[in-house]
Amino acid sequence: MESKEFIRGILKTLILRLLSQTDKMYGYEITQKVTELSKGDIKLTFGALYPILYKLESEGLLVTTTEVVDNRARKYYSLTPEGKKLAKTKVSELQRFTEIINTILGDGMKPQVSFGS
Amino acid sequence: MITDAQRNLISEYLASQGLTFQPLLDEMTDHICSEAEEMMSRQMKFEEALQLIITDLPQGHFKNIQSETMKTITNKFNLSRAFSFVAMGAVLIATIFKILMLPGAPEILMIGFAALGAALISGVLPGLTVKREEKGVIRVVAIVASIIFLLFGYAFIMMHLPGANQLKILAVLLAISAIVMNTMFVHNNSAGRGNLMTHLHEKHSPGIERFLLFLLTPVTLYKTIWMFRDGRGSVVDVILIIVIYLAGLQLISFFWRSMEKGSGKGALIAILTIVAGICLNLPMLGELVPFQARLLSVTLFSVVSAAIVYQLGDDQSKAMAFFPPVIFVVLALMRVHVLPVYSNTVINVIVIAMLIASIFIARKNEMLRTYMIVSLASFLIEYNLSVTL
Repeated sequence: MESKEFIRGILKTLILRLLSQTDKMYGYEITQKVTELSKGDIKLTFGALYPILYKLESEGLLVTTTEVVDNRARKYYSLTPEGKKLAKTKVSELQRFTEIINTILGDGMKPQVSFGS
Repeated sequence: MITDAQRNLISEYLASQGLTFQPLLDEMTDHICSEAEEMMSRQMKFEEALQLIITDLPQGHFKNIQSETMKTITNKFNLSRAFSFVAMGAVLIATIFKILMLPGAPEILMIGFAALGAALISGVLPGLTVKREEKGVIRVVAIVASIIFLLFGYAFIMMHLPGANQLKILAVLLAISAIVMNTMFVHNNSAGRGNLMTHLHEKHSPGIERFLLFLLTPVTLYKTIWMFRDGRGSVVDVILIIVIYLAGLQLISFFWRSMEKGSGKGALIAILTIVAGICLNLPMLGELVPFQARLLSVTLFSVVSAAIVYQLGDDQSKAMAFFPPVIFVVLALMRVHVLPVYSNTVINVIVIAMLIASIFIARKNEMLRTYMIVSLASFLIEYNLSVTL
């Protein structure tokens, strides 16, 4: 199994978590935040990010607003009340899962992953 | 900061890579612009930054992203989609019944109208509840209500029920009010923020276009094959009127979105959009409006819309927008006997073929494409000069 498959499984949770910590974010901002928080270990590309953003929006978990910034349209994403609830649930589920995996594998394994092409 | 020319270069590059879904194209453009700007802040040249971003991307990368994105959107089953399928099916069956001269076509078409109304309501309702922070709920409700009232108005006419005119008047008043209010809102808030109407349109416009093309295809075939045979008030003409109305509203929504993006901020575009909205609605009242006023409305809608499409368009195909006004001005002049009445099946078929071709040619310009859909549907009603508008 490749490392990116780990990320694929938790990408939805990652996005929900990031958006739960702020009012709104746009696509590039999300990729930068992920890179920054993972200290460059995880790099989200457009290919990974946008299909899932559109999916979350179509599921009613995200809402969007468009603003004109520097003469171009910028689409911001924010969580709906339903999205906020799901973010909490998903994050606690993932934390619990990580604890279990850590228990099984032991601590000290820092992943070096790059996701997307 | 990225200049307009550099942004356009990125946008054109993405379009050349097969990215046609406008919301995603805009978003990717912003993404790459942001990334390039970040690199340029580290003293890198724009050309180098862009090259670095796109280097190593596999062939068809953006097309694949688009297809994956579309799959995630379209795969989701919802009530609105189910009703849309019922509506499309009913319209198709009604047209086939009409072609085969079987009884029951009006009744089946009414089922289609009811399903279309249900699709609209179920498609818009989640947007009204989820997008609470956006403004314009009343305007959206007014537009949806106007479409439903118009559908019922025509259904009542086909069933010879009383109240059809009242429904049509209500529909037109609601639609004109909503168009005027939303145009003013967009004009005064050109930052493109907080408008529920344009947000919902951005989300649903590809589906609306597929729906319109689905309705238009069988009736175009029917009208082309059975030229000169049908009179007014037929099932097929009612379908065409609904296509004109829905496509006309879709076109006006594209004008709003373009105004929001900043390419049509001027007061003139706003005024012309309102004029187009009024001219789209008045003919829907049928004989309640004098013939000359309806004729003027149809012609003016064509001319004004062409001017806006040309003004807001950013590709070479936009010049095609001036083809329909020529047709409709000539037809109008024939109807008021300024020009001698001349109708020739071969010429009519050629015009229809040219309008169909223009819909395909304008595949990268959704505003122009929608305008051509309205023009084709209008011509299919109007070409027969023996028919009174």
